[in-house]
Amino acid sequence: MNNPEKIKDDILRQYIGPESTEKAPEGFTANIMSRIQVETVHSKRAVYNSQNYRIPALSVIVTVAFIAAVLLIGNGNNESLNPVSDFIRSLKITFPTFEIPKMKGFTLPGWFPYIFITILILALFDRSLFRLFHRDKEKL
Amino acid sequence: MTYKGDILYIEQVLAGNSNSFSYIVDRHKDKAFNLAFRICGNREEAEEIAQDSFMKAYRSLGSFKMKSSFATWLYRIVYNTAISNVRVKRKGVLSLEDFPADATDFIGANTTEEEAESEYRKSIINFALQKLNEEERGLITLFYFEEMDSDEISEVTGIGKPNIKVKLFRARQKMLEIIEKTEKKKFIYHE
Repeated sequence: MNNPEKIKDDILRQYIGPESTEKAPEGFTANIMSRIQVETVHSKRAVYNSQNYRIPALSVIVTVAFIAAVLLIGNGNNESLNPVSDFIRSLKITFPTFEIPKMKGFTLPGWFPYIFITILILALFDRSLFRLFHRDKEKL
Repeated sequence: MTYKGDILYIEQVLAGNSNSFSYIVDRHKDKAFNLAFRICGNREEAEEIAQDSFMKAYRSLGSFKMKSSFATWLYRIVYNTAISNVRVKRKGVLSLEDFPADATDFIGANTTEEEAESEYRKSIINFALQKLNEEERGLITLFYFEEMDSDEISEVTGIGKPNIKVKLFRARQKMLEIIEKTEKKKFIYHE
């Protein structure tokens, strides 16, 4: 810095003293910490929710496997296709067919009522899971 | 280099103890707030900018390199947040008529003459800073208030070192012209 610049710098420094520094307002740290706490709770909730998606995902996989096994038995094919169908076949369960007497000639496919019952069970299961999630959200 | 206390608390935060961040905030809040305030010129906005900057720092603490200075890293966040905030909310230019005539305007029931003089000087600086553009305000604050050298200023602002010297020269010149005009007004008022 040359001499005239040094003079200008000194003049400016006379105006800008340590007392010119503005201090952060009261409660500044507390405000940030409460924002951090809110954010931490949100991120914990996100982790919690993602962990709980495993339960419905697992239930869907089990149900699909079960339906597949039932359908494979129901198609009258006696060839061994997978261990699940082998196991169910070994139980020697026969599925009744449903006929509606008033509508002659109309027969429901054998697997149809079972699909309907499975959907109903899944819907109830979904409802109970929803209640579980909702209750935990309110707690948070 | 990062202050050892900062490293200790940063490591604690990264280990999952978010409460340790309060020590970091306490240590740097005044300087961060001052930088935000000098750039935007409004206490409420400065508080918001400083808080947002600390939150950004908290979220990206994992990417902070311990070998560099935490203060410089934080000021870079504050500087960038404040500059972009000011660019979004551009305000009208203040006129010299808006400025109080002299220190007597700052004398209150419980204020001494010395305190009033100090307040007057502070407001001259605030007024002069508001006549500069946001980049110049940032440079003046980092150089005079935070007492950083041009290397550190370059790290915070991302402006090259030779460019900083030129910009600081111009900003200083402008500031002095404004202060001179303001002080002249004071003498005219007293004649």
